[in-house]
Amino acid sequence: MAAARCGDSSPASTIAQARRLREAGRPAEAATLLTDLVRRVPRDFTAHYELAQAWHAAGKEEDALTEVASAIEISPASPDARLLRADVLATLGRDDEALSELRQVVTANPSRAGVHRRMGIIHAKAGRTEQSVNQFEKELAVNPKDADTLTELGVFFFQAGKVQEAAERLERAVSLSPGSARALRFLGEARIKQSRYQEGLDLQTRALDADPKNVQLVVNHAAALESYGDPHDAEAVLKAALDRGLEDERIYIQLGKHYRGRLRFDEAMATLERAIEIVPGNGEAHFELGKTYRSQGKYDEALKEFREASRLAPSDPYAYYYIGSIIATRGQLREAVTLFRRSLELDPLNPKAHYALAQALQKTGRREEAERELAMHADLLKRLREIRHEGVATAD
Amino acid sequence: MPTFSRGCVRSGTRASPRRTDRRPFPGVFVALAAGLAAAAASSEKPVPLAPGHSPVRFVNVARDAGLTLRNVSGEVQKTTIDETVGNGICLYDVDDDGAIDIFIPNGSRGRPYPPGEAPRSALYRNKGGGAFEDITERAGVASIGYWAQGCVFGDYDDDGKIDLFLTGFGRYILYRGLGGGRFRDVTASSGLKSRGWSTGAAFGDYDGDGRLDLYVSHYVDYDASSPPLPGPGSLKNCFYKGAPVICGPGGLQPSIGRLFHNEGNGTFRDVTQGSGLVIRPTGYGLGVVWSDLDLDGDLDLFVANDTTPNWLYRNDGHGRFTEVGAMSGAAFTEEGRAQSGMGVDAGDYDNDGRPDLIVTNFSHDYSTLRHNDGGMMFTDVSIPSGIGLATMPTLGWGVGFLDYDNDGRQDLFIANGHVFPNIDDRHLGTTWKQHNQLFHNEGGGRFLEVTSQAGPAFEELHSARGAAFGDIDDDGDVDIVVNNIDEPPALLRNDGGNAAHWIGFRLFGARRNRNAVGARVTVSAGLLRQTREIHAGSSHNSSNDPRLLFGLGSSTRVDRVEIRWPLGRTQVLTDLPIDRYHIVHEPDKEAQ
Repeated sequence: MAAARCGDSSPASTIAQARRLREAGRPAEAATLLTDLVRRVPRDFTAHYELAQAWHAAGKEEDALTEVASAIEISPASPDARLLRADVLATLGRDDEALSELRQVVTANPSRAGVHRRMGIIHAKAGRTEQSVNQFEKELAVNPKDADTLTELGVFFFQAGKVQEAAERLERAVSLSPGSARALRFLGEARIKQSRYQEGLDLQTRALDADPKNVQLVVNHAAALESYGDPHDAEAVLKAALDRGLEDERIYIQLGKHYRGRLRFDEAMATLERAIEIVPGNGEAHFELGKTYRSQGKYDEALKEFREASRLAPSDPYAYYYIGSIIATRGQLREAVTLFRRSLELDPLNPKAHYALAQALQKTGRREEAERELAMHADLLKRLREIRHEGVATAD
Repeated sequence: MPTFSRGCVRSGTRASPRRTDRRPFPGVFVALAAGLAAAAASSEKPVPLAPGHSPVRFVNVARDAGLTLRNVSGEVQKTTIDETVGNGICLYDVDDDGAIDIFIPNGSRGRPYPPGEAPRSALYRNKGGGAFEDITERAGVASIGYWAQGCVFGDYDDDGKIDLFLTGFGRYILYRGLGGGRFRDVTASSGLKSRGWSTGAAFGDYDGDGRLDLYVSHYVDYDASSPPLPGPGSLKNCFYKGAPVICGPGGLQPSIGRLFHNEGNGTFRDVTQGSGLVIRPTGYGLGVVWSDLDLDGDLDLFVANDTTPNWLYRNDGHGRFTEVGAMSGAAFTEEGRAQSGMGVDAGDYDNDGRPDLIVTNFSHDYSTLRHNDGGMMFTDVSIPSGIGLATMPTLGWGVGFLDYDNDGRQDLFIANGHVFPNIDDRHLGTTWKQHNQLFHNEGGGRFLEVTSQAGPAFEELHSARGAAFGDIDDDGDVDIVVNNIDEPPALLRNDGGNAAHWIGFRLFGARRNRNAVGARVTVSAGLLRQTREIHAGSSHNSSNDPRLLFGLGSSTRVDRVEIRWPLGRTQVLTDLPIDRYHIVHEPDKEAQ
């Protein structure tokens, strides 16, 4: 901002500086510059458009929507503005409006890049498989080397469980855009699913190199290292992220889980408590702290944390399960049955809860109900085994 | 009134040279008359035992004792699952000289051996004085060329001469005892047939006809000529935490365990079909133990399955079983998760009269202690007992409840070792060679790991497999024999366990089931009341000293001994001298 005031403060230079700030991950600062600019040049399309971009990048979607509307009012035929409006609407969950906007763009300009990709993403989000793939294919017909579309198509296939199809698209995306963190991340995940573990971990490392501030990438990579690589490396990745200044509760939670897995309970508890300090209302941190106490047989402390987790996230089925399992050991079987049932209402596919419910029912003499729950448990375990097919059973 | 008569106590029965001038495997066992032993015992003050700080030390004396058989379990590199399961240990006084001998089954490898170089199993005769003599050849139990896994002693033909059953690859072996420590292979005429991979085995009279029947666990339906191998394109069952490892057992076809009924004419009949046992290949069977878990007077059967739910078979008393593992809480952890069950034992750790269950499991998982709540219901108490956390880094195999310090509470021993020799490079917090673990029963349902205080034997690192428990040196405390993969065995001599008082029993059935397998003995001494069963087959591929040894802590007398013989007859003994073994014969009603 100081540079704009001291040096060239023309709209073009302010816009260029704001763009740089946005692309450097500082969208709020960009928005401040641009807000000042639109006051000075209220009929400048680019100023409004760029401000909308900045708000969108900063997660302020309503503000973005207001600004993009101003841009469209100035230049109603601008496909860029309409695409941005579609993006903002999709982020707000107003998918039908977003699709309507995109259809207008594609009608006006059938070869416009990026429109079908956006439509494909929206259809994928809504579970409309056929439409989604159709739109991605249309986009690739227009632009066969569009790495973003290949990435999204790959992500879609991956999330649909079609790992091979996903890997093929993501491979192409990575070859076209080797620095795409999203493509690298999902190709890494696909490789892990294909039992090409080391390759998957290497791809995740590359994704993290491409986007070192992405907390979700850090956490996913650490979790993958924990399961398929060297847990020392998982710890190193998390600590390096903290050293880089990513003071995010998700990193502390993952680190706490790592310590718990290594039976380093004091460190686990301290780390999870740090996560709670950062975001006191984080139910997951309380939940993981509860599990850490429970692993040590400290049931009173565990119960307190699970109850807090449950209060913070009442729709989380697992806290109910753990509260039930602890009170069942204390003979409070009726209350435990209620909690297990509540947990199963929220997640009917949790085999643990079916088993615990069966045991509690059996101990209270409700044998027929117990047998039904055991049958559910057996069925779910069978399905899990078919998915996992791992060599040995461990607590992981 | 006591039905035990002096005539039932063998004259000159060995008594311990307790506490005085303790020497390893004393060469001369002091023979004391029962009365003298009791008088000597009563004149001494009991040695108080500090909870968790037992003075007991275990020393590995295998090499000095002459136990030199080097275990063979495939190639040292271990690339296939058949090389990882390892062998058991079996204890019995095969030559009736009063000293416990040791049988060690051995494995083999896939490649043929040059003539004369194939590994063999070994039978070591206990000469006393801490020395053993290899009598394998003359005993006729070398089983050269056979890739053995497990073993169990049992007098299946009730001729008073102990027999020996071996499990392994491709077939079983039944050695009929000829007496004097000699055996003859009678497999071909016994009706015991197998082409698969058999592991744990246990004798027990499940139908109450007085004859020892046999259950044999089977593991994987395995074709050794084309084993699944890790490598590019291999399935997920060939990876462990992302690293290529030995494939299985998950993803391979399980093999079905077998129940053999003793026909009473020297043969067995496969009664698996129609017995109520699981006949679909759904479990990778390893450890097995017969125990009257619901106290209804017949033997129930528990099978530890690797990677799949355990099986608990409730015996209906008429030779039929119902699988109640899931309902009873014995099949899964408290979280409803199947584990990689390996070894197993049944023992009453909390002295409530009901046998509890321990199952060893894979690393990054815990060995599971299940409390018997009665009514065939079990609760996973691994975490609150202290066993759970302590066993997370280790991969357990052989296991047994044993009162190593004779304080009247059953402690726990677990033999450990990983299945992946390359695991050390992975920084996973577990290793190929591991310490065995000893847990002291603190009472109140809690165990304290005392491994680091239990003597030099627990400082050694091995990849251990089978473990068997018995008073090898006849001094009134429990020693442990462990089979180590690709190494000689370990003999963990218990030094100091007999500082507290004890009483032991060797039971003989009247006409059938001569070793009284399944008998249940309850010893009451003051406030202490302990119950044990005689098992033939437990742990991992192993069987224990058939004698029952009860620690008495500081009690200087036993008030009452109740024996429930396998066919239900109850016998009460009183006024028994302590610190010695008693030989008890089942009252022979027919003879009377």
